[in-house]
Amino acid sequence: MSSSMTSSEVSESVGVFIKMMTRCLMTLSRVSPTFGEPSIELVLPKLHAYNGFISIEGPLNGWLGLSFPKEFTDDLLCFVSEPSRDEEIRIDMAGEIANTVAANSREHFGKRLIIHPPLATGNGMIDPSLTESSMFLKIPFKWHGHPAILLISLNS
Amino acid sequence: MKQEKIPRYLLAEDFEVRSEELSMRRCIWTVASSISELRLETSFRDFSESLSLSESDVSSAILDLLSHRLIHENLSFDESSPVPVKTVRELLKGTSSTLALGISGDEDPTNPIPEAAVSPTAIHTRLGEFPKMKRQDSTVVGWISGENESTPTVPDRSIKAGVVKTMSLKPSPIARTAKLPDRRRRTSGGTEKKRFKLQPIISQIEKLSKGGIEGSVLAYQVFLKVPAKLLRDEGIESFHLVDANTEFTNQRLCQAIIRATTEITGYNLKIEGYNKSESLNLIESP
Repeated sequence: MSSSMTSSEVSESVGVFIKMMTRCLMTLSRVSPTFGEPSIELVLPKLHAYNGFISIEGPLNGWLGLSFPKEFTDDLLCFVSEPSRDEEIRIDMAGEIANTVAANSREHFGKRLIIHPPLATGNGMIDPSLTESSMFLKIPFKWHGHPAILLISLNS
Repeated sequence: MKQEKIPRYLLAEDFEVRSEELSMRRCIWTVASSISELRLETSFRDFSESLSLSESDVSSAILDLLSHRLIHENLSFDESSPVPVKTVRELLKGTSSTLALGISGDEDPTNPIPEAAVSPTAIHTRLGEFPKMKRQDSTVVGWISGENESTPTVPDRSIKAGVVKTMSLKPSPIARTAKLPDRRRRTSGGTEKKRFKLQPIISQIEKLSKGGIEGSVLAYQVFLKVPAKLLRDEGIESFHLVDANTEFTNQRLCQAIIRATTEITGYNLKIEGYNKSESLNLIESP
């Protein structure tokens, strides 16, 4: 666990999380996300309203954030046949996506990575327990016409 | 409802020299061109509205200007002020989330505005201004270029206190004469500096991977090893990994990127126009 990853292993590992998220959305809706142009951000980008954060420890340290606007979570709620539409249920939905990604990634990495239980927030907030990196990799994506953000924050 | 007043600021005497090498967002220059003309009791909201900017943009711009020492508070004015005027820092400290971000108030007095405390993000966080969202536009036009990405709006609840009074902002001397320097082209000596483009550098790095997202993650790993200050000093706060138009002039930044690439990938990056010996001279000079 203590050994560090090579740069290509880090890239591949992050790729696994992205694949898991894609698979999760595909499974729910049969609609795959379309990824936009990634960017490196020196300050935390503005997030959408509902967010799920997956904290990672081990040879890869940092967190991944999934940021969804209201319409995105509402469409997801439709797909899971959830009739309620309130703040709490939307936060739960964002957390549920993060949880599914985390669970599948945990299965993939086994003991090689510690993947903490996800944290979910509303109001476009980052969870205060997460430490901010000096830079973020922001990968915008669209699903069902709704923009969303995949944010990666690794410790250097 | 009370509104928080904006402190009085003056442009630094060496504003033009300091700003010459800087590349900052347009709104920062807009604020710079008007801030020294502020009247007493001008609220953040009034000032922001007069510039057609959001309050968070103005707060962020002021802190950026302070961090680059392009403006300073007009303290003599404050002393005679009948209204208690808070500094931006005091305003920020007054919010509950400040401590959560590690802004303890024990900052180094020789560095009155620590870098971490002046990033626009830090401001948003401390003011509790993380955005609510506009209704999303689902059109796909411009998506790939990132132009149509939804722009979260900042709720209008940042710094509120005080009575709003009407304010007329005269155009500052800077605005009138449009003398803001061409920050990107000249050195203070007037000679043209070499300009380096980020795009070919990023392309070289990405080619070392399988491409796609993995290439982006590799580029991210490299830039994580580059001191963020070097990028910020070039006015870079964000850059795309595809078709990046970003340019910079600092040879030290070249050197840092080359070093980081070697550290992460073992590859010896080539940057067109980069002169290693010039860069070494820069580092050795006081």
